[in-house]
Amino acid sequence: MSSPRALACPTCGGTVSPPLGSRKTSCGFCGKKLYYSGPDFVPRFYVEPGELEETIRRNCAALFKSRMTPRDMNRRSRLVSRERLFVPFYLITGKRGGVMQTGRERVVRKPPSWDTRIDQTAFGTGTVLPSRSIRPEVTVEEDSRVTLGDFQYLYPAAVMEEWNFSDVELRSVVSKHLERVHPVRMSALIKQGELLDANLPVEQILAKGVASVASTSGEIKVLDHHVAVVYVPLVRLTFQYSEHIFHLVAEELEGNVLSGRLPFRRDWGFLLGFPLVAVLGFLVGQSLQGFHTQAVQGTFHMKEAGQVLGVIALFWAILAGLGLQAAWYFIRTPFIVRVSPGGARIEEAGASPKNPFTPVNKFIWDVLKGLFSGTRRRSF
Amino acid sequence: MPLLIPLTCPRCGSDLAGGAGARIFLCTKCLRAQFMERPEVSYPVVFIQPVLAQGESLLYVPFWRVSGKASLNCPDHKKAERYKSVKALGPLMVPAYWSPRADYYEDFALRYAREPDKLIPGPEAGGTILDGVRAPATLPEIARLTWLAYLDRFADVTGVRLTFKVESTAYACVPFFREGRGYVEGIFGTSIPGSFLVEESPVPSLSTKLP
Repeated sequence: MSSPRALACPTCGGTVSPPLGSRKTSCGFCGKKLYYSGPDFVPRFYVEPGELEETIRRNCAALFKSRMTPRDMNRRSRLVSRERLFVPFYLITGKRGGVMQTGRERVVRKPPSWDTRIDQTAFGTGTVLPSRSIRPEVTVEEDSRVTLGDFQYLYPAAVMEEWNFSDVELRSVVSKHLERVHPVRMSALIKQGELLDANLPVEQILAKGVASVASTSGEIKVLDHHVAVVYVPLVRLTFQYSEHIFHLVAEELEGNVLSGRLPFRRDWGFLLGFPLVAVLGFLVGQSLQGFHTQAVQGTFHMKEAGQVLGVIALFWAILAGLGLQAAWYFIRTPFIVRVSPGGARIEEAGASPKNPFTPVNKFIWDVLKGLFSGTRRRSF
Repeated sequence: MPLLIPLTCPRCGSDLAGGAGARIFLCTKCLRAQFMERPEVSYPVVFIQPVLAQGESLLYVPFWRVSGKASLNCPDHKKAERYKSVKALGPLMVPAYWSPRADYYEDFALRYAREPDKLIPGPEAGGTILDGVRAPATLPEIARLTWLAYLDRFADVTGVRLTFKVESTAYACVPFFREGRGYVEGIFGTSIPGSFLVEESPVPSLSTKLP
């Protein structure tokens, strides 16, 4: 279905460019009105956006109030700009029909036969079979199901990876709002926002869509199909918070936020540090209290106390080293909050800078390695 | 087939009328419809008179009106007797327009076929005509399956062979009235939502009010 670049007017032979968004065109030389019958023509529609300003505002505010974002974000964020985007979807509609041969199960309750009754009497029961002994039988009857109906298949017409949202969520929302589609001229659409190019080949999608609605047995066939491009309106909101600039993308059919990045709340590290320091303080207090008790009881030995203090100092040094490194990683790594239809999650926005403690770590590691390998050598 | 086809009537030479997305164009002088991808065949245009005159403005919705003869071969005599008592369908009205909503198609097609006397042809009452897009090539098969589905309501069609011979095809414009955001069908007065028929509408601009 490659699109021809130039066409010849059947009346005057003048060059006519293929029309976009309309099958009707006219010759620029003789003015004749013409119909373009090329198979590459796809009619364009758009889904009318809803009045969702308040809903989108509420959804954005809910994200700003998240525990992952700075506490004053809802108060201090400022909307800098909003732009509309139109995302294309292929809508394949058509008629399918056929006759399917199916079997229909039926439960039949048969009365007992005369022979059975005779046998029963011969064995001395002397009575007719009771009704509960009648066994139901399942029979399969032939049945034909006539199908004649319309089908609908919706598929993204552009790669949406760069927008960081899955088309699955958007597709289900669009399917619910297809009743709001209108034919549209591309010129009118371009005036209202940025258009994403329908860059996925329609042939593949058509084959996939048509195959999915026909039955594998071949009894149900696609009688007629119609391909259209439906543009779905999204809004890209740009916010400023402190020195940060961040974006959120929301769809304008139900007002859900589809993707975006928000600044991360850094004071979480300090908040987590408080209970850690409290625990460490408690442990040190406990050990010092132990020394005090020994001193009061007169059982305090300088040599033992020195060993214990050495262990405590080592423990403190390790903890302080790890804490400093954790703080370095936490403070210097750029974190963001990634927004998706499934919720918000914390992500690294870039690589962490080089750790200044690396040489110290290496030295400690080498010493420990030497100690352990030395021990092992000695044991052999 | 050439990619560019002149939008002129092959009979009288006047311009053909149709919208941006139409595949079926009309000659308002000859009252003929032409499926542009097979321009050598044209079909008579029939305007159906509205039984109920109501609503804000008139919109003609195009259907393919298929008249023909359905022949039945049924080896089961019991079934054949049942089918004999079934009221025959009138001309079948198959939608020629495009709609994103599929659920009303069959209802209208069958309802018109069961009460053909209500569809009275008459002069055009001055409304706009919705663009026609659906190709007429599959009409015989659609008609055959519509008949089979209809008969299946009375007795299972296993073993039944049905053939449908198309005698005439016309492009029938059925009156609908716009009412608020929806439509009222002009023959039976059925109210349908606005989403059923797709008309061009301006793209609303993004509000300048910032949240």
